[in-house]
Amino acid sequence: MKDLVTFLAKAVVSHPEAVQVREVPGEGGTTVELRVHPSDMGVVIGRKGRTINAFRTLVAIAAQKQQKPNVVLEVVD
Amino acid sequence: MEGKRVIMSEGNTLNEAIEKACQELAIPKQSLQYRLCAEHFRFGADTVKIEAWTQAAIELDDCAFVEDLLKSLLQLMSFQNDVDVQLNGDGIRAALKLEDTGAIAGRLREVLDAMQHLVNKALVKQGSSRRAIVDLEDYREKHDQSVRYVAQKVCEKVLSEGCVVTLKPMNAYDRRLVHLEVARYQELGSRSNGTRGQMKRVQVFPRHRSDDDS
Repeated sequence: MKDLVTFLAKAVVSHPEAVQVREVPGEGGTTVELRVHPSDMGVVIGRKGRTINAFRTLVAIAAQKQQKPNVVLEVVD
Repeated sequence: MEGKRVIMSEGNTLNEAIEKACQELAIPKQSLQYRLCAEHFRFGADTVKIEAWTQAAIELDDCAFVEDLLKSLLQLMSFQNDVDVQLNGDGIRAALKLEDTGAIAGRLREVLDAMQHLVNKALVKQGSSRRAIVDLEDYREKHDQSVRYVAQKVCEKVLSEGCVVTLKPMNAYDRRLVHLEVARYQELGSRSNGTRGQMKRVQVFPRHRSDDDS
C-alpha cells in the first residue's frame, strides 16, 4: 500500500524527492500518512479534493483486491 | 503544440546524418523521425541525406508515457492487466483489459474517473497538451452511445410534441454530448440549467418558442 501511495504522489508532484509515506496500524485498519513538499500540498489535494479523493478510490480498490480492509489515506503536514 | 518542423541533414554515413539532425532539432535520438531523401537511392551517392522531424515521435512518447503509468499503477494495485493506448485525434484513448474486475464492480465509473484524473494530472506535469480518456474495454464508449441515444429520443419528442424537455442531471462531458446531438436540428435549442455545481440539467426546447436565445 505504501508503494502504491508513493507512486500516485510522485506521479503528480513537482518535488518527488520530498514524498514520504508512512503506514500507521490502528484498531480499525491502517492509516497511510502522506507527506509532500509544502508547495505540492495543493497539487496532491486538488480542486475540491478531487486528486486526493481519486487516490483514496484507487487505494480502497487496491486494499479490497489485496484483502486488506480499511485503509485510510491522509495528507499530513 | 508546435507544428511539424522538417529539416534536411547530410552526412557521410546515416548515423552522422542522424546525429546532425538531433543537434539541429535539439532532441534526443529516440524522438527523431527521419526519411531518406530520394537522391540517396541513386547509385554511387557518396553522402547520406535525410529529412528529419520530431512531432510524431513526441506523440508516441505521450502514448508510451500513459501506457507505462497505467501499467505500473495496475500492477501496484495487484491487477493482472493489459493496456491498449491509442492516439485518437488530439487526445489519447487508453483501453484497459483487466482480469477479475470483481473488486471494481459497482464502482467502475468512479475508478475509471480516478485513473483518468491521475493520468491527466501527470500529463500536465509532463508539459503535454494532450488529455487522455481511460476506458475499461468499451465501457465509456457504450455509455456515450446511450447518452446520445437518449438525446436523440428527446429531440424527436420535442419535435413532434413541441414541448420542453428537461433531462436528468449530468456532468459536463455528458451535457456536451447532448448539446452536440441537439445542435444537429436547426429547429431545436438546448441550454444547461442549474447551479454552478457539477451536475446541471440540459433543457431541450423548440426554437420558435424561445425569443431570447442565441
